[in-house]
Amino acid sequence: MKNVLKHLTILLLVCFSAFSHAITIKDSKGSFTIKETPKRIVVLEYSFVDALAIVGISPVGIADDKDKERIIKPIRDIIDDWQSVGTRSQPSLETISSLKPDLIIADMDRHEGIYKDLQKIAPTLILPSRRETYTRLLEASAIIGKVVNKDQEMQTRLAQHKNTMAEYAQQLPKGIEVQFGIALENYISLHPGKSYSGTVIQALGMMTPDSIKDQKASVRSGLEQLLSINPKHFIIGQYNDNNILKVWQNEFLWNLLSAVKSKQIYFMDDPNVWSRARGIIAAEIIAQDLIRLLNQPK
Amino acid sequence: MSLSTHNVSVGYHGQAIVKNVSLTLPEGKIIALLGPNGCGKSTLLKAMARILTPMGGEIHWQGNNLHSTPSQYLATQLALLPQTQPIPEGIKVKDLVAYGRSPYTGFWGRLTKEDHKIIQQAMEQAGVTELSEQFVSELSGGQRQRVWLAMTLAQDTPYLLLDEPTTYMDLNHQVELMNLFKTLNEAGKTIITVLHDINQAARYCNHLVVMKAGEIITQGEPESVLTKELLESVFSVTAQIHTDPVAHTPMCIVE
Amino acid sequence: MKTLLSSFLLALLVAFIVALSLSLGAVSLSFEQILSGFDASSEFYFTIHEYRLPRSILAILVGGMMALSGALVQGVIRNPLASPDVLGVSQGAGLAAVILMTIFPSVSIFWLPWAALSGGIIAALFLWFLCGSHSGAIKLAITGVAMAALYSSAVDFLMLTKPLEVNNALLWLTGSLWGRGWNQITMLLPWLVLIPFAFSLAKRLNLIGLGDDVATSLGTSISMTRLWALTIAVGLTASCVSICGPIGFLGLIAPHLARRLVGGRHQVLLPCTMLVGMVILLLADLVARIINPPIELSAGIMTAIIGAPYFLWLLFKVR
Repeated sequence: MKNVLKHLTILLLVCFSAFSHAITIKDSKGSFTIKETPKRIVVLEYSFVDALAIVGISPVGIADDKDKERIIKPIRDIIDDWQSVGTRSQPSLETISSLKPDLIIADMDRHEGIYKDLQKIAPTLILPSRRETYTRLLEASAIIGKVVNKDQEMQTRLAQHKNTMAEYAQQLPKGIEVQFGIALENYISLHPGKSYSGTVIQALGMMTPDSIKDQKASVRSGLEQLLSINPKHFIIGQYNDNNILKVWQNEFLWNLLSAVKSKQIYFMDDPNVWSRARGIIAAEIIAQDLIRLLNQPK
Repeated sequence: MSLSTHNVSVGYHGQAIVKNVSLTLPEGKIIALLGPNGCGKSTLLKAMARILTPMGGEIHWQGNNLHSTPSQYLATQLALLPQTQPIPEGIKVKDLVAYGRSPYTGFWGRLTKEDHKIIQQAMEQAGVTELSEQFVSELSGGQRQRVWLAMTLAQDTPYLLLDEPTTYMDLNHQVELMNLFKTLNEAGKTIITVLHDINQAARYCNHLVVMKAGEIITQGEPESVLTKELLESVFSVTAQIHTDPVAHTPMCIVE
Repeated sequence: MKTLLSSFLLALLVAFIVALSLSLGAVSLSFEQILSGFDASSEFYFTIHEYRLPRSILAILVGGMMALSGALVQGVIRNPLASPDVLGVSQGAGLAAVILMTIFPSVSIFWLPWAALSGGIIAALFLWFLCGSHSGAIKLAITGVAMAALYSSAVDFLMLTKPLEVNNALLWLTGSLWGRGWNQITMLLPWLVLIPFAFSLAKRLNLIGLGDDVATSLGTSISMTRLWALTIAVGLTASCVSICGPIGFLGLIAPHLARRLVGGRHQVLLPCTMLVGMVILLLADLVARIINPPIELSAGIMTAIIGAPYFLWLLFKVR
């Protein structure tokens, strides 16, 4: 009798799950349940676009700061056109509402304050993105895979990504110290140890400078500060020519940098992927960039 | 007597300017406070208007300590016209004069017919009726002084305290003002005014109080107060005293 | 008569801009669509009832309260350049918010308004402690400005040393109505009781404008009036700042414009200042929303764009 009941329950559960894709997972605010597979998704951070793109889903709305170029080309090539819902810091709630979404993916750091409002528009999944590490974003991608009912595809892609990254790691020197920074008009913005690019560098078997290894937010650095951090390998991203390097390269202190002395300094145009994009595709591009830069003939 | 000081010392920042002054101001007179700059005449006036609190001694109003008498009540008894006033923004002359009625109006400042009548009368007395729709900020210094005077008159108090009211006025307005004092005085008001001009005081006032270095030197009718010796000792000038050919009051001519 | 007409026109203008705010935005809605937006089953329910309507109501409340606070401060400080900013309340609120974010980074941002409110009130109490209740208006203003500068530099310091934690606070510090709704309106409602108290000071504020000597001689207690007016102003400012962040120049400009429209009698000036403040903030928020949709700018940036030149013009005029 007991056994019959048990079998019956299992049977019922199987039937039930066949009719509905109800999924419950844990997000940054606790339990999140979605009854049906979402069709119209609005995302409020770039890393979530990455997570959707790799399982072939195109969001209907993206908080892209009203600039489609903010979504990196490899992702833009995969997904269909979308509507901008404003800036990531202050997305336009009425635009989101007008898109009639059935799922909103929001960032815990930026959007906790409007979480309740977003919920009034559509079921809202809130996950870490901004200023989060490589590992945490992989976890967030896995959760998104489940919620959009593409768990299988996501797991496959994640496994594939792991292999790809391992292969890339093979092509990179082990254990060297690499620092990434972006040259802006008045200072260099260094991405420290707990930043996304910092954690990608570590995941590839390299190191980031010790002195800023526990920081998440980018570090504004002057030349003297840079000299005290003194990274062994230094990758500098430049959006354009109008930056502080022009000045610094003529300074005495610049030539004291060990990366300059040992010619382990690398320049890179268009650092958009490194600075803004986060996610699986972004991580792979960062790895490819690293291979290209660190292995180039001196 | 209504207003009197008893061993009053008063000043600023713990520094006494008026020292131990006992003075009874005769009711129903036009009283001038005279003395060289810094003698404490304005300070004493402000103390009597309860702007300044004495450091020692007491000022009495109807036999009670002035500074513990309800301020709302005193506002119907003593009106003050200070030497300088701020220029309020966006206020018309008629509004400013109407503010003089505040001790009598309710909490929202609504004016009665009676109030309007008194305001009208005050403006006529001060000669500012034709300015009533102008903004106070657009007036000249002398006009403004008369508008403020009208405000003080609208307060309709038995005592008027004025601090050098003629300072910014043309000569004709000065004369008008001093004549107005006479009219008001005849209607029963006591006027206490700080004046600079000794001859003006002697001609229009009937009681002079002369101060020097925070103390009262002498007081009384102009004829008894104004002497060659007093001018010598208080103002350090050598002067002759003559009789004004028109008003037959004493006047001094500096040698 | 003229003042009555001005007030009526201002009220009409408020209603007109509210109607515009309901209709315009990332999507433009017709009159019928707006009406349907009050029905919970409508597709415009969120846009109208949960978004544009509460935002307009908040603009009305905050605009009116901040402007009233400005009129009270200008009334007692007797300086046309005075505004609630000279009390350091906004800056104190900002500092408290940033401190909360840096010391307790894990704390939910729902505590932000409460921290800001306490910060604003503490700043006011500290100013009162420094100056005492009998000090002159100018001493109060100068001390207040100095304290405000101190709080601002402390905020800057924290932002430079702890850039991660203060980010949400930074967004809030630009003074915005974005992301605020019925909850925030409920939080503001209790503070509306201050408004009748403020109006009850109208007569005494008129007399304060005549100078301390005359006001005293007319039976008004300067220090009591000043204490009351400033206490109410602090309450109004701190509550608004705790919800929307500091909306610059609103408390400065609104009383000025109102004074030009209806004159300086506070019985008329105070309510009209509130109407002008409502118009300014409603317009600023509307423009911030529709200038480049779906990008949302901060209403505080808009008021600063209008306010800063106006302030300079005033500065030159006053000399």
